[in-house]
Amino acid sequence: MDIKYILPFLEALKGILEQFGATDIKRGNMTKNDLMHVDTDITAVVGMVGRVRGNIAYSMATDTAKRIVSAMMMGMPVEELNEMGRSALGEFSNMVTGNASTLLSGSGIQVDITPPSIIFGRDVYFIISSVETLKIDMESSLGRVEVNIGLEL
Amino acid sequence: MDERLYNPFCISTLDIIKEMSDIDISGMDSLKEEAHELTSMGISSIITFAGAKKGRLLIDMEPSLALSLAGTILGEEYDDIKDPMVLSLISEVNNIISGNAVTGLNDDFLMDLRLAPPVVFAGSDVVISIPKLRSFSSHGKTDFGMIRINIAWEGGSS
Repeated sequence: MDIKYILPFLEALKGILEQFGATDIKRGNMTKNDLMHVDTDITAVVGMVGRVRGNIAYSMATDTAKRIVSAMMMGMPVEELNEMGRSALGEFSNMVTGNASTLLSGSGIQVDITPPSIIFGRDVYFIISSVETLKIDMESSLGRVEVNIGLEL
Repeated sequence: MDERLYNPFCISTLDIIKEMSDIDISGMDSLKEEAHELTSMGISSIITFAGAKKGRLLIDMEPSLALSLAGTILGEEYDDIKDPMVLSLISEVNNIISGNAVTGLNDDFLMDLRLAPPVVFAGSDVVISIPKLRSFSSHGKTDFGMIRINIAWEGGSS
């Protein structure tokens, strides 16, 4: 998978995290997998259609999700991820993938995104693409977000 | 609810599963609105699509049915729904079901819908949340376990 298709997602995630006040944003190593095993609590998946087809999954622990939702709500304390919190997480994954699609469009790669789904559960096995899936961890002051990108080019 | 946007997915599910595995789905109940959260029966596959409208099909089934489908279609016995072959098979079945339904919708209503690749997942106590989307489900029975079809369209259903 060409790096030009991957970087927009990482830049978009970094930009959105910064927008919500995250600091110390660091990108971890990139690994390739066929099967995606998630051992965190929450995964938000957004699909993509157009010149590039695929799915992008953002996985995180409940505490990270609460910190992100709290940051999105101007620091309001978040005790549990109720309907509003889950909706905010969907919006978070939409914003990241939407910004990535704008960056891709800027490079002449026209894409559209599809509605997000949020999956709760630990020890979940996923397949998000019939080709390889790239996994990259993004650490920040809000916690770790594991990004899995499965694009069919 | 405009049934013309929902029925193609139900019909396609019945037809494709019968065609690929000879498994009959009986007693499909009428589509009912779901809460914003669904508890997975064991293995679930989601396909999203975008075009004139955006939407999503979720096919959810009990592990025993997924293992029977994989065994029948692939000709080998499987005993673990987290086996990559079982996950891939369920994902491909959803791809064919959605492709068939969306082709019909595009032909009949010029919706220009394009499918994202399927997502499939299995785990214990998995809950699926669909923020902001109204979704409708129908449940069916087979000799090997239950199946649920859940369809959602963004911006209402008309």
